[in-house]
Amino acid sequence: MSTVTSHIIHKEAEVMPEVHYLNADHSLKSWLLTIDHKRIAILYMLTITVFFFVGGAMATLVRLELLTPAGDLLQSDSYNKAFTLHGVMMVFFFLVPSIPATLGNFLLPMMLGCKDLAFPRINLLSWYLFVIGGTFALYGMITGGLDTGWTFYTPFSTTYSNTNVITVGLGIFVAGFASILTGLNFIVTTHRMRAPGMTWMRMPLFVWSHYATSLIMILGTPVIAITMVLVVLERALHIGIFDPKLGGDPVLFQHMFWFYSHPAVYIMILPGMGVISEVIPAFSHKRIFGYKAVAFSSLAIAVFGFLVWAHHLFVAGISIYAALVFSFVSFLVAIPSAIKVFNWSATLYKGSIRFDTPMLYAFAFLGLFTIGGLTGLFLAALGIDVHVTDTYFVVAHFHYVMVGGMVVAYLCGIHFWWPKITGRIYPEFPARLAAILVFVGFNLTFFPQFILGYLGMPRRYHAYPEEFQVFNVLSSAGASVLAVAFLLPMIYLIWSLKYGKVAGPNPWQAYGLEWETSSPPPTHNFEHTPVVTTEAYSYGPKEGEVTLG
Amino acid sequence: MANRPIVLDEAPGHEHGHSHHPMQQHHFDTMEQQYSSSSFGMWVFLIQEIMFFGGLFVAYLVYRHTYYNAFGEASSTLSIKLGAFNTVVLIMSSLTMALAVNAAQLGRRFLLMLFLVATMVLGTIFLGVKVIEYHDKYTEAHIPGSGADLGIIKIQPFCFHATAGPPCAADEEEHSAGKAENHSMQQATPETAPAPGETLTASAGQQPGEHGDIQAAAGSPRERSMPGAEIYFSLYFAMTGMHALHMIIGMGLLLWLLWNAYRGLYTAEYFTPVENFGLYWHFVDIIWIYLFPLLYLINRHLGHH
Amino acid sequence: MSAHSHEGARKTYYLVFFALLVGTGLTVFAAFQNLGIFNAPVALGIAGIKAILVGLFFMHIKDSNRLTKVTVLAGIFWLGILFVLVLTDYLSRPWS
Repeated sequence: MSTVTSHIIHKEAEVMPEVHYLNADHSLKSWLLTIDHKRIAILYMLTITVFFFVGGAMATLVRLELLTPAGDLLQSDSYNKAFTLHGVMMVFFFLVPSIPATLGNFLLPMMLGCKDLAFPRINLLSWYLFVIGGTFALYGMITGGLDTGWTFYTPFSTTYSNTNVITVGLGIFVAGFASILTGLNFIVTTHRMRAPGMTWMRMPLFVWSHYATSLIMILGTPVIAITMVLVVLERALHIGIFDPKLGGDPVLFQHMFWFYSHPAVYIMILPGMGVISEVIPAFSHKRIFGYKAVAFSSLAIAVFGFLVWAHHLFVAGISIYAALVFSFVSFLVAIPSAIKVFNWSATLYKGSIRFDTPMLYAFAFLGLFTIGGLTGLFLAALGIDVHVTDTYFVVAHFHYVMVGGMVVAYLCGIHFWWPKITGRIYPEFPARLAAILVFVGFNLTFFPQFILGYLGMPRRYHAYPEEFQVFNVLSSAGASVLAVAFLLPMIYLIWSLKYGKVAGPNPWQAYGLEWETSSPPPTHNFEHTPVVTTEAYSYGPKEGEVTLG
Repeated sequence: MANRPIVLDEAPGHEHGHSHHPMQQHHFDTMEQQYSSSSFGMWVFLIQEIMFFGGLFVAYLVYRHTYYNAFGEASSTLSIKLGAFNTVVLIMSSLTMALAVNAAQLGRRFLLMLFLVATMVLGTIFLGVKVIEYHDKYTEAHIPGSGADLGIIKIQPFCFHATAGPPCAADEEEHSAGKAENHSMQQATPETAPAPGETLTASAGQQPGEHGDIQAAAGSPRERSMPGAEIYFSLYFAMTGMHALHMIIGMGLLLWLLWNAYRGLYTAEYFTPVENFGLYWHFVDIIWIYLFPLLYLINRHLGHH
Repeated sequence: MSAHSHEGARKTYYLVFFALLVGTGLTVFAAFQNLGIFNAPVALGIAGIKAILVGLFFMHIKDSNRLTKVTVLAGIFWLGILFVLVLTDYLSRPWS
């Protein structure tokens, strides 16, 4: 992997490097005007954590309300605001940036063997746009909230709602450009900045999945940007682009909205898949099975993901023939995801498995993502969708893929690369405990929701018939376990910054260019551009290959 | 665990063992890498812009399909002369921009500045004509919405071929200008039978009216206007407005390029910003190349005024 | 960067400019001819040719590397997905 061939014996106690990207300059200006991709990743990490907890607070209100059948905690208007802001915060201000803006920003240049992304100043601009957008959204939240659902369906959002549609809509618009700039940066970097010898087929799969994510970001986000512009214009100027009373078409809004928002869910899973593709080989100490299949399936998900959006409009009044087409393609888009699951499973087979915390999260991902994905197929079937659409079945499905998939993968990645980012190792016992609590709490929260949806409980209702209470109570109980499980890492990760064991360059004995520099890395990543001569994941011989010595 | 070499970190610091072009940024290995990255980055940005405008175009396509006649009639109130003139102006500005890049490539500073100024002048003319056109729409009460009183200007409520009540002021003028026949011909063929798309304006319990199914609240001119006309004008303003916004941003960037050219920043070895801006400017031109026929030239062969 | 000589490049620009002006005139002329359902396709066709000329010659797509060409085609293709699949819904509604 590099031209240096001397071996380093693993010392008893590692030592932190004297100068690295975190302590190179302590001034506030050096952070707020940084062009170092690693510092920008940290800035993003702090910001999205804030938004995660805001969204989580909204979820707490929702689950508290749903403990009892009567709408007794919140009025219906307030409840509408709670679930709306939960959705807006979690989708636009946590999940979409999460792994790409934190782990992607930090690792992509290092994995490719270069000093920074192609456009470091645009990277910083992207963070500022994200903060501005988020501030708009938070301001809208505090000064009256939003009750349209994160989906902004018209004409409620454009004409009838009395809440801060414009403020939050503009916040999403601005944050969308942060996303576009990140995607642009990743694409150009991947094409143009790879180290010598780093061919496309030698890139880590984490890079492939971020490349695919970036394609979706640049091709999809502009459409929701213009859609939000039209919504804001319509609301501000009282024109009628989406209002039936004035000749407009609400279904057109839904087409335009979901043209982005469906591919957006692939933005909200592909990076997680990239993390899993790194963690499973590392903790099985085995090459990934089917590298090419996993790489190309990422691209396939990105492309096919653009062809299925109207499955969100099955009951909106679209033509049945269009619905059939979208239903069929929605089945097809599951195939590349399934290919990945098969390849990850095959990687585990005959591997030498270590159950460190990242691997626990990876196992959780495999199971939970599979359930989430399969229930998506239920929804792709027109006949079933008509019955369970807008019920808790859908809510359960997307939480399985977004929380059980992406959030779990995010935690997985944070734990895997925490030593690289901070130079410290977190304490293993609370970390494993948290991972298990996440798994238990998550299933307790969301599995009952499949049953609720099947039984007919609609989503976005704050009051429900008595017969649904048992499952709602189980779900809320699970949510409280999940809340604890999410808080634990906050505590022990921050603790580890000061008291954690020093990690050294490669505590996991993993393969990858990022593990070949110090922890934390120097500002320039590599003093000399590495030359790559081997494939990624060279953990052991290929099947049938024999090595000497 | 064996056989894994580890790169040792060398002393932090930055040796300039090689000399590089003053405009080369430090994270790039060569000027060529920087140039090809910048150029590719610009193209990626442009395809993002394609999708951004694409949203407006798809809305246009859907509504033109739904309100075929209204779009035709509304479009004919735009001035072809001004639209065609603006098209020519923008095409000329694309030429001057291409020549500006060519001049930069040759290291000819004065010529570069000349062509940048020419591009700016043409862009300003385009925007000036747009102001005139928007003003025309303002006087004809074709600005979508219920009107607004902003002190210095008073926007009239939208009105287009209103029926079942007092006609629009603009239609009255046409009457007195002797085009009564033409107008009554249009009146004689109202959209009585709702086309498949047009029923989307019907809400529960509404009776189909003579001119579609818009709820007539006290018969305001806006509600009595031809269905679809207001949507046409909403899209007209949204699309040309978004285009004009991109031009204004372009003018700002041109000023920045002009200033840098004056300072001598651009040479035959380094003129990437000029070239990349050229790509942006040509793209904005291409958007207009499509906007012109789609907005100005619908059903002109049917002989509307 | 252009593969032609610089004077050759300028000549190309003037030729393209002239073609664009002709195209504009043609579009306006055709708009007033009764071509039935072909009015719109003709207008869009001419616009398409103009756009291709601007792209190939002013934007130098013709002399660009393969990555640029693929990028442009991808953008047009994605726009196509948006148009085609949305229209699939609207155009097939009368059949339901």
